[in-house]
Amino acid sequence: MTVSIQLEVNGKPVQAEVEPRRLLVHFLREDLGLTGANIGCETSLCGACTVLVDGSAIKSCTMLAAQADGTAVTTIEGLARNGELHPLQDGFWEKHGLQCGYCTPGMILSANYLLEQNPSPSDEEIREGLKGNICRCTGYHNIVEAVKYAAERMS
Amino acid sequence: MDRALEMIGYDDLCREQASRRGNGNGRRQLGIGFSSYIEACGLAPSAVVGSLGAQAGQWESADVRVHPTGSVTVYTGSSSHGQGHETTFSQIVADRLGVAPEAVEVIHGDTDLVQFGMGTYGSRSAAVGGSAIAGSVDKIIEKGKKIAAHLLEASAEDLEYEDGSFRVAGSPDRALGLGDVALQAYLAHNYPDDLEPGLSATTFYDPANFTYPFGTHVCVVEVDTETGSIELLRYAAVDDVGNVINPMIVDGQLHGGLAQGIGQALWENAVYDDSGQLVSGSLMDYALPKIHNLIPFELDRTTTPCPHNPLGVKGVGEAGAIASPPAVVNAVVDALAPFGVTHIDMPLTPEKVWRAVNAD
Amino acid sequence: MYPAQFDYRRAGSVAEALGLLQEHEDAKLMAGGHSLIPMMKLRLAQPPVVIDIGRLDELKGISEAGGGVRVGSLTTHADIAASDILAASCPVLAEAAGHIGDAQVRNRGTIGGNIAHADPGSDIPPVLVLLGASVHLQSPSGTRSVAAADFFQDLLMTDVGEDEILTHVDVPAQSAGTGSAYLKFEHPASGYAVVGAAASVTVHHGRCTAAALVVGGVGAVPTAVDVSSLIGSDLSDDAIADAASGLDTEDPIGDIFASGDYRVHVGKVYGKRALAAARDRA
Repeated sequence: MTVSIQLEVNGKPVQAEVEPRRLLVHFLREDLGLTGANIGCETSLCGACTVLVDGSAIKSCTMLAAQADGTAVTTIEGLARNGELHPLQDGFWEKHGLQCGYCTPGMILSANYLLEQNPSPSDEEIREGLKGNICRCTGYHNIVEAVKYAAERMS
Repeated sequence: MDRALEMIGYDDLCREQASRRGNGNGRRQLGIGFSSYIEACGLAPSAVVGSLGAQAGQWESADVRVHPTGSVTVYTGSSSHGQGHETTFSQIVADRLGVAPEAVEVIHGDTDLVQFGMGTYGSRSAAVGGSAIAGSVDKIIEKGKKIAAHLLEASAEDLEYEDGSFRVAGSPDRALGLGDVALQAYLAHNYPDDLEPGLSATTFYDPANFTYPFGTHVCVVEVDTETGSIELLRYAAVDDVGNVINPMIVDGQLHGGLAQGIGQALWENAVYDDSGQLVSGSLMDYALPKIHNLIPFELDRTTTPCPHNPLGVKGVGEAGAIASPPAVVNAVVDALAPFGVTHIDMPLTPEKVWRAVNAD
Repeated sequence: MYPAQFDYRRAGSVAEALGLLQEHEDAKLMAGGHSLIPMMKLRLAQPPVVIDIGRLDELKGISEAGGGVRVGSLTTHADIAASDILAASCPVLAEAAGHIGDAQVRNRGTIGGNIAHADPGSDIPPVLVLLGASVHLQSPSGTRSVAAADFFQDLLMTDVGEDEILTHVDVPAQSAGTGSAYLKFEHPASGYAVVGAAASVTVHHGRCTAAALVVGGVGAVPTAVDVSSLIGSDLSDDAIADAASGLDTEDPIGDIFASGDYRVHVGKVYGKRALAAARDRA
C-alpha cells in the first residue's frame, strides 16, 4: 500500500505517495533530493538527520514520512534567505564550527531550535541543548562558539 | 610544561586537592594528570618505512598550475576529509606566490583528476603534502624568473620575486607581475629558446626525516569515589607543532584530537563476547564523546620550526589524540592515590573506577 | 535501515483506533514512534499493521483533575518537562521527563508510548510508581485503571491488553511539606538511565511523615525500596543512607557497561542522594 501525504518543505507545498515504511529522512533525501539531512547512526542517537517539523527539532530517521503528513518541514536547505546565510550558518563558518561537515546540518537545526526556545543560552545550556547531536571532528569547542556567535547576531 | 602549569594554576589546584584529601578522603576527589610527549609525525622518509617493511613509499605529490590569468590550481594527493586542506594549501600557495588565497583552487580526492598520492594520516598533510606544494611553487618561481628575465632583457640571476612580481634587483621599475609572465608562458610568442611553454610544476616530495611535535597537556578531573564516575573540570594543552599556517584550523585539529583521546580514555570500547560477536556495535552501546560530557579546551603553543622541510611545519592532526589519554588516566589515578590506586585499564568506566577504589 | 513492510492506518478517534485494533490482529499502536520505529528498523518488531494514534488530540495535554494532574498519553516529554501545572503539583515528573534522551527525542516521544514500551532504563516508570500514579486504559468493553506499581510487569511487559489503548495517567498532587527528586546515572552511549532514583519525603515540624524511594534500571521493573524507617526521623544523612541501603533486587540486570552488582550499588548511592535532595526541597 501507499499513503498520500501533503506537506510543506522549506516553504514549498509537496504532495507524494509513499510506502508506509518510508522514513522521513529517506523521503527528504531520495524523493525530494534534499540531502542536507544525513543518515548517521540509525538508532536515534547521532542527530545527523535532525530537521524541524512544525518548528520542533526532530530526528527524521525516527519518523515515518506518513507521520509528517500535514506538517511544515524545514531542512538545512531552507535556512538561508535570499542567498544570505542564516546567522547559525555564518557562525559555523566564522568560528570553524565544522570540519568534515557531516553533523553540521543537524547541529545547526538543533541549535536553531535551541535559540528559538532560549535566545541567549549559557555555554552549559548550549551543551545540554545539543546533546542529541554527535560530532566526531571538532571536540564541540567551536560549535559552542558558533552558537554563541549566532545568538548574539540574532538577538 | 612551565606554560601549562601556569595556565592551569597548578599551585592552587594542589592546595584544593590536599584539602579534599584532608577531609577523611571525601567522596569528591580532585586529580591532576600530565602528559608530556614527543611524536614522530609527517610520515615519512620512504627509505625508512621501506626498511620497516612498508609496501609503499611515503612521499606526497603536488601539481601546481598557474593559469594564463594568474589564477592557480593545486592538485594534491593528500585529500581532505575535514582537515581544511583547501584553506591551508591555498595559504601556502598564496604566501609563497604572492597571490590572493581566493585565486587558488585546491583539487583533491578525485582520481580522475589527481595524480597518485599517499593520503592524509600521520599528521603528514602539511609537512609532506604542503612541502610538495611549496616545492612546486618554488619551481614555478624559478621558471617564471627565466621567462621574466627574457622579457625584461635581464639575467635570471638578477631577478627577485616578491609580492607576486618578478623584479630586477636594484631596478624596481623593471618588473612583471605573475599574471603577465603566466600569459607569456602560454603564448610563448616572445620566449626563451631553451624553455618549454606553460607554467606548472609537479613535485614528489620525500621527507628527509619525520617531524617531531612535542608538548604538555594537563587534565583536571573530579572523581566521585562512591560511584566511580568522572567529571572533566579543566583541560590545558601547550603544543609545539612548528610553524602554524592557519591558527584556527590548528586549534580545531587539537580540539578534535582531544575529544578522540578523551573518548578513548573514558568511554570508547569495542567489546566482543566469547564467540567473537561485537556487542558494542551501535551507538546504543558504543559511547562517543558527547557535547555535554566535554568541556572548553584551553590551548596555547610554542613555535619551534621544523628544520628539514621548507615550511617549518610538523603536523598537528594527532597531537590531541596522542597526548590526552595519558593525561586523563593520570588525572584519575592521581585523584585515587589516597586509595592506593596506581593503574586502571582504559576506558575508565565508572564501574572499573569504583572497583579500583574498593579493591583490597 | 528500513522497517519491514506494513500497512499504515491513521485513527481519527480513540473509538476508531479501538476498532482498527479489533480488526487487525497483531497490529501495533504508534504514538510518537520513538520506541516502536527503532524496534521496527532493527526488525525486532514486524507488525503487519501500524495504527497511528499520534494525532488524537483527545489524548494530549496536561490538566488538573480531581486533586491531581491528568497527563494524556500522547503528551510529549518536552511538554511534560515544560508544564507549569506539573511544576507546581508534581515537579518530579517534569524533572524526570527533562532527563529523557535529548531535545529531539523529547519533542516526539510521548509518556504513553514510553510506559507502554516499559524499557527498564526509562526515566518515567520509577517516578510514576513513586507518585502512586494510575494508568488508564480503554477497550471496546470499557475503561479501567491500574496502579503504576502493578502496570509494569516484566522487562518490556505491561498490563496493557491487546485490545486496549492507554489513554492517560493520573498523578496525585504532591502534598504540602513534600519534596521530591529524580537523579539519573546516565548511560554514556544510549542516554538511558543506568540507574534512575526517584524519591519523595514529607516533613512536618522537622519530622518525616512520609517517604518513598523507587529505583529504575536495576531490575526489569521499577524497584520500590522500603524506606519506612525514615518516618518519624529527622532525615539525617545517616538515616537516609541506612534506608536507601535496603535496595534489593533478586535478579539485577547488567550489560557491558554496568554489571548487576554495580547497578545495585549505584542504586543505593543514588537512592540516598535522591532522598537527601528531596529532603532539601521539602
